Amino acid sequence: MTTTTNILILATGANAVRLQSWFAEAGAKTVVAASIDTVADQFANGDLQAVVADLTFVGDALQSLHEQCQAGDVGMVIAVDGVPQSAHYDRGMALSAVGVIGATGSASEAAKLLERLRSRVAARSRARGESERWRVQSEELGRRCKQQAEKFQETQETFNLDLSRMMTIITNIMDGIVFVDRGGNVTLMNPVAEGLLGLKSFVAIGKPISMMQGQHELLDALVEDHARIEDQKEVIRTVEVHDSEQDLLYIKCMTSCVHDYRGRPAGTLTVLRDITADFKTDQLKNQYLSIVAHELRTPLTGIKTFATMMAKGTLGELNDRQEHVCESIREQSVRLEHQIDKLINLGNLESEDYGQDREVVALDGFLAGMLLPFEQPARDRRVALSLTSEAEGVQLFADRGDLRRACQALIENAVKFARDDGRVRVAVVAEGEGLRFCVSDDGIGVDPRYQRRIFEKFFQVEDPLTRHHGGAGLGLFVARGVIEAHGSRIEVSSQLGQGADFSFMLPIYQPEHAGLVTETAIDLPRHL
Amino acid sequence: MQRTVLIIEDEKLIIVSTQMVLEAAGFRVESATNGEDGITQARALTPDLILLDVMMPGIDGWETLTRLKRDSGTSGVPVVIFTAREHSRGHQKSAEMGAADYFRKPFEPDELIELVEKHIGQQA
Repeated sequence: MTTTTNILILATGANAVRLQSWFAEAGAKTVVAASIDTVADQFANGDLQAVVADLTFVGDALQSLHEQCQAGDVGMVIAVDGVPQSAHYDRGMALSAVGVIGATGSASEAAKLLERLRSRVAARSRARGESERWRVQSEELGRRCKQQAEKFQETQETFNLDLSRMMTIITNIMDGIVFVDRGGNVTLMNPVAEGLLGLKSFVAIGKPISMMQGQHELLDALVEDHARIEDQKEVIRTVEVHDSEQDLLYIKCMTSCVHDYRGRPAGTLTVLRDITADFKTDQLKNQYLSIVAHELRTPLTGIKTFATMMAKGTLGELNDRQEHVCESIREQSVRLEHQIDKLINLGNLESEDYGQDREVVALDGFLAGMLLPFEQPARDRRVALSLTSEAEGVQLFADRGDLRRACQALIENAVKFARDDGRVRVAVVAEGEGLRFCVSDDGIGVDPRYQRRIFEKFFQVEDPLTRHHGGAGLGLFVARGVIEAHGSRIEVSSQLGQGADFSFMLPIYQPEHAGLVTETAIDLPRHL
Repeated sequence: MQRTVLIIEDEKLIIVSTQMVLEAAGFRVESATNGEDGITQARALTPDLILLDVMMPGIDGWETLTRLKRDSGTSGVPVVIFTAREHSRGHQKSAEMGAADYFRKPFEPDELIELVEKHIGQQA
């Protein structure tokens, strides 16, 4: 590839003529500068590739010429009069000249110089290209770095924003929050928790939770729960605490193990909720129900007693019709009593304090009158209702009222679902060391799919809007609660359309085994 | 000898019905309508058994029980707590306070007689 090389010749006289003819012959386009002062103009033209500088012509301006050449990326050839000496070459090297040409030169020598000049230009432009690439690459790198930095900053800002949002939530949430890391140190505590625990977070954070024992009732509970959580997923309980004004507060403590976003155990989180208001409402509700029940029960006791005595002829002989009516009054009063009992039970549902008021219960007395509330409803649908006991004279250690409720819930259920003209059998049979209570009917049965769910609160197999059977869906729920509180469980065996058997076991009370109860009931003949 | 049961109960209806049941079973029944009066009568009569209501105006059944048990004249008389209300762990509470038994109203007449026989029988 040959391109025209523009050369400026700085020489005069014969020298200039000689140089111009050689370089022109070698293919360069040459201009001869008339004076050193016009060099700057030539440089300003911009398409100059080299200068051929006659040392005598350039004289003192050589150094500045060299600088100009360097700045303008213009090659330099040193021209001398006569034969070039080694000093000239040294000079040329120092000025990074392409070469030296003397009076003994020729067109071919000029061509060599031009060739060298071109290759140097090519090398330089290669180097320039290389450095350009480097520059572009490093610019790209810089841009990326900047981008990354911006991204990082953005992420950090988002993170900070998220964090501050989260802290705002944690700080302002109505529940107390305490977080303890895996090492057992408190790492977070919000203001509500501070208030409830009577402990400042700056005091607690970073310290082991076990150190906080003995300062506050709630704190003690917390320490206990954190110690217990090891083998459980969560611990939930209600703690009674006294606040600074000595008012009683009820705090629900919910402690659970938490995991980080990678699913590794991160520590334990406790949420503290003040449920005093709910608790008080609950108490009020129970109190109200209890009072209502009392007000209803008291007159009922009178009615029932008088009717019973009258029916039994204690107050004088009655004719058959009178006796029948008295018996009816008695039966209805028992039904009413059963309903009141259920109402009270409804009030106690949430307390789950089932089956706790235990006493020695004689089975015979316990079973007496068990069916009474259901006799009328059974008669109405011609359901044969029977009770048989194979275990006379034995005793149980149980909560009489709750156990009766549980049994009656099962019986009520059986009567409700028995078919018209069907039967309901209640049987108590001895089985090993215990007694099995069975209630069976021949009614619609329970779909195996529902056999667990029927014990759930408010669960009804039928659609409540279209169903034929009344009730709130609480009977079996309560029965399960009571029987479980007695350490047993209700078993169901049923097929759709083939009736249902509900049964549970209770141990027979052995007086010599129980240190709890000091007295034993003595069976005495009944009067009346 | 006719055995005496003292019933301390503010509800007249309960007194009358209880009285009717127990008298028919051959007991002598005396009554008081509040705790103070009940304690006075218990001292005077030294009954074989006291049936004691919990919810009463003035001093309640628990307080009455405490005073009866403190008084050497009446501390030996078995007291049966007789209540229409559900008391949380009523059996334990009444046993801890020295009552012989805990009985819930409304009751079956037979149950009442059985209960009274049980305690008076034990004492004799």
